[in-house]
Amino acid sequence: MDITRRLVVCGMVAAAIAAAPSSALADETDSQLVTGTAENMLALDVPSPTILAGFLPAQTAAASALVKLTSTSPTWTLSAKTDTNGHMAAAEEGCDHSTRELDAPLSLIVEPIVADPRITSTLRDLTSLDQTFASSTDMPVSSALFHASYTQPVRPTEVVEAGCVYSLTTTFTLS
Amino acid sequence: MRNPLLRMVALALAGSAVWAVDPTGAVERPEYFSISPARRDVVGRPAQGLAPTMVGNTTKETLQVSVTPVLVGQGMTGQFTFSETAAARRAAERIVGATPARFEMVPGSARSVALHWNRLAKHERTAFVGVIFQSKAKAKPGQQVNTIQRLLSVNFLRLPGRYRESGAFTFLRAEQGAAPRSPSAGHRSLIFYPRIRNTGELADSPTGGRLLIRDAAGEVVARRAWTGDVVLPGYRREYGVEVRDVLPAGHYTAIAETDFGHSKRLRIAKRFTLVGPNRLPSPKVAVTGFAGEGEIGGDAHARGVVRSVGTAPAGAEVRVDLFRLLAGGQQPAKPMASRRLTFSGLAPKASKPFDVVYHDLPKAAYRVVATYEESPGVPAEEVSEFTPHEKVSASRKFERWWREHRGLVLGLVAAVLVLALVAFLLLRQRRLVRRLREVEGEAPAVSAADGAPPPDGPLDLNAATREELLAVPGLGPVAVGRILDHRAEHGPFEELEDLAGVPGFDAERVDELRPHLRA
Repeated sequence: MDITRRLVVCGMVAAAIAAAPSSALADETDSQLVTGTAENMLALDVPSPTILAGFLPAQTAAASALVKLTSTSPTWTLSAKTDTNGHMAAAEEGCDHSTRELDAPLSLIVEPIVADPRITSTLRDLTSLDQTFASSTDMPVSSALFHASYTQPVRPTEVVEAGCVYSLTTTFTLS
Repeated sequence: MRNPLLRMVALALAGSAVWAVDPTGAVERPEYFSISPARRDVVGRPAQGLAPTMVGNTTKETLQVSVTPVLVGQGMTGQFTFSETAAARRAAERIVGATPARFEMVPGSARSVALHWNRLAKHERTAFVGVIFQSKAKAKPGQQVNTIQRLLSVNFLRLPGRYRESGAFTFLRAEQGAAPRSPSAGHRSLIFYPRIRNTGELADSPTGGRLLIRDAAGEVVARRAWTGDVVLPGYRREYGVEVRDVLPAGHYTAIAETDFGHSKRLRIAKRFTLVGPNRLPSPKVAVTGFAGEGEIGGDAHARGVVRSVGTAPAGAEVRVDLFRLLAGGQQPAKPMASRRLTFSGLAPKASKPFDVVYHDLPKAAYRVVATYEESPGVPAEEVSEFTPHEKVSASRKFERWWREHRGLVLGLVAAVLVLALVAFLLLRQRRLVRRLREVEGEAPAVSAADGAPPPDGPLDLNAATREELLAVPGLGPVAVGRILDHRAEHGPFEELEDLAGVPGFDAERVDELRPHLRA
């Protein structure tokens, strides 16, 4: 290393020392408070469609779907209603000899996978009116998992042809 | 890190941390349809924009989303309610508008929806408007339940200024908590529901609430703090406060206190009774002895008894359905007759019978089903099957009737016979008396009404001869002889009544002779 290079390096080191902040050298500390406020949020995931198994006369067809629910408010209500007063209806095609509309209404219960006394679940028949199926007044939930279990009795006298599709649309409302 | 051993340990720790997050190495991301914020409390003046709502779709489906403003109300448990009529929607849209109102969201996308506070209704300073975010995935074939998801955001809007913030307790009730998961887990809890009515102008919440339970001696035996979410102005809302302390049977007083807006130390008390450890009196009913029977072409009956078998007064609504069974004993979908019976105010251990009558049932097998709730929310049913019997002939009916009522009829007949016998004996006695009188007087006694008085007045009893006396109606030779013997023996009669002292005469007979005789 020649003399010129040595001088440059020494100069840079000296400049760096001179530029070092006095506070660091004086061993002083400071803190900054970082805060974040959670925004209130609602989120819902009800898989669609839910396929019923055991759809035969004199049997009760059943299905279960995993519902995910988030509410940052401790007060939340999950309600549900249907467009056909709870009765599953046969499709227009492929159901010529089938019962047009099942007599028994579809029933539903929405229960948390991990039971909690602060969450109320109720088994009800679905109707065209919004009814509460799960609720809490003092428990916020985050991606909480619930089983939505449907049961559909098919009467012994009801005719259901193989291949005939019965369906119904359920509207879930989280508020 | 110069030491290779330390370096390996650090790498291993980092690796284990990654595995703890997700064994597949991928970061798990919740799948849902979401909105944020879900609630706004805005003080301002329309027209103005509100903070936009971020709508997210982290599901694997493409969602069709619609945004609809609605006016919100509130239910007793605090859930927000809304009307979906066209008029209600138009009223809400006049206050708050949303843009865009419809859009499509591909998986993993987010979108901002602008909300605009347009105006307030005339003479209003506040508005409570919800916005429904509705998502729908494309329907797929199969025996299925398709779903629509809706999220309701709620916006409390108000003009700047002073507002009345007040509330009042309106009710306090106790309810039995859920049963423990196993009997060894202890007793059921008690849940108390103080009910508050918001009498102010803003959506408000109770603060610093507490619940005390005092026993009959006034000692505090349980104490709980409670808070709760908002209740809209003009609405009432209940707040559940769970008490897990085990209280023995006895009489207690629950006291709820809270602040609400500017209303301080609100207080309500309610007495309650436990019939066992943490056990509230509970209404319960049972239908017993339920059975059907009847006759072909005649009347059939479904009879039973509703009994109150709980520890609190109960009511019940019993639906009695009659089904005509199909071949093979299958029950048809719809009943051929249905009757709804209402029972109320049944005290514990009380019962009320019921009898549902069906007319003209044809020959078949029938099933009657009584459906009711044995306790609130607990359905129960009683079933009975019957086949109406053949219509019975008149003689068979009489035989059956005779068999059932023979004792009563025989008793009545015996009583009638006894009465007839008594009447016969009385008549016979009377007849004998009359006959005796006739024999004594050789002529029937004549009443004053029968015989006309003599034209020259009554005959002097003391001066009359035997022949004159014999001419008097009602006096025969024996009686006249006794009168003459008495007159000879005792002297003249001082008054006609003295005649009663003669054998064969009495006061009644003397009265009958008065028009014809004098003393």
